[in-house]
Amino acid sequence: MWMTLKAGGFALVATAGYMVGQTVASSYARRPDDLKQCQAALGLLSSEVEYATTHLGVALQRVGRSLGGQVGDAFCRAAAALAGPANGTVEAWEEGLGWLQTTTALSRADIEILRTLGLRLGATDRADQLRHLAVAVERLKVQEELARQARDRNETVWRYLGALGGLALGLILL
Amino acid sequence: MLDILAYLPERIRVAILAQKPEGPDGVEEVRLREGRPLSLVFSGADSFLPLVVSRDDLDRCVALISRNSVYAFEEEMRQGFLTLPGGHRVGLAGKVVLENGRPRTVHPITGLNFRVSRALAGAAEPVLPALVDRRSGRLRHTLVISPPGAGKTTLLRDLARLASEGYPKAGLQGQKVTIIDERSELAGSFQGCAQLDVGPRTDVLDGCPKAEGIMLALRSLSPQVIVTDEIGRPEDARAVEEAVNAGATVLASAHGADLTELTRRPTMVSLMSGAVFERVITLMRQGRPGVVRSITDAAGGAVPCG
Repeated sequence: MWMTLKAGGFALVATAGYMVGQTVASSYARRPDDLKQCQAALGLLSSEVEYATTHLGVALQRVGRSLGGQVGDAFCRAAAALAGPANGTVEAWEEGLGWLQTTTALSRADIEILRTLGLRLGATDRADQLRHLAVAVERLKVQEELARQARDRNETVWRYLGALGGLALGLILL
Repeated sequence: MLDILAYLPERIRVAILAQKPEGPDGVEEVRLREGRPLSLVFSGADSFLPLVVSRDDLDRCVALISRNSVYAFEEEMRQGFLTLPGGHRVGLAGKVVLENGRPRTVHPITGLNFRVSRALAGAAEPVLPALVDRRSGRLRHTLVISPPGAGKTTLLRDLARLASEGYPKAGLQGQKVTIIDERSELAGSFQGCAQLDVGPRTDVLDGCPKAEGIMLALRSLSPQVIVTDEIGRPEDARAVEEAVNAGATVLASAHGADLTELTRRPTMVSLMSGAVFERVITLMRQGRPGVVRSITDAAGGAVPCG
């Protein structure tokens, strides 16, 4: 009986360690793709602003639908919030950012870049909008490169660290 | 007026609705100037409300007017005004940003002037009989003169509507009308679509320079009547002459106190001496818009109404 409980506890600790490792490793693995998606979304938004001069709400909706995924959903959420009564761009953009924070692997620094963009979104003429969008894309590109380096360094480490750490902790507790 | 309230921040909306004794109905203009009291204009007289307009109020207004998309209104910003659904106009004041010596945009915007648009249906009915040639049933080439704010545009808009609908009492059948609306004031267009009643046979060239618009209309829309506001440049005069020679009736307006003052302007001399306009309606500022001082022929001889 006692041995069965010990074995069960060991299995639980080892699995928990493995899960933590997988989660952190997966976050490292997904972040470059999420950043890439954000850049693609801002690229599409630039096209809407530059060529179609679509109103921001419609533009966000279009970008969100054509892109899909969590980033696309964030744009759709921002568009829906913008259509709500008495909502300004900043509040609507925050809705989208809230979604990104909970569903993607974007870091706080990545979100801050998007937040800064949201302060100017829709508030100035076309040339200024395109400038701000281009700056945001450039900054996200740098983040993406750093995210790739971090992934290459840490993803495998965390996968093994989680599993081995869990095993080690389980053995100690035995 | 109630249409305009939707484009104002809540605290300004509340202040306008609460102000007495006029209430919001008689308001002709709402003027927001950064750091100054909110101003309302009634029949030419203004009053200040005890509310100082902030930059945040102006930013919120601009966001509401542009639907959070200032970049989509670049051409309007270049011209210094935006048109709202319902034909109301918002004039912009602030730092004008130039590009190649021409205004590109206004940024920051430190003042907004909401002008309430009101179509006065029937404003032109009293003058119409003097403008119709009963034998041929056609409208005569007509120029409306007045100082700013006396109702030129209101009268011209109603003339366009009557010409388009037809006015059997004066022997006028419905005509194909084209309005060249360079400043979006005649038809009050929003995204190219007329918001004010300008008649069922009326086409509008919105935001188009007058001279180019007249030529465009002659080429493509076969108008019987061309209506345009505030002619004054040499190219306008040439285009008007072209339209007259092409067989279209021209209804136009020009700034000026009276015919004598108008004929001192070199551009108008050629139009008036060429006897392009068969009728000249002079308006005066007197409370309501469109009060007629006189109707004359090109030589200045009085023409009776009706």
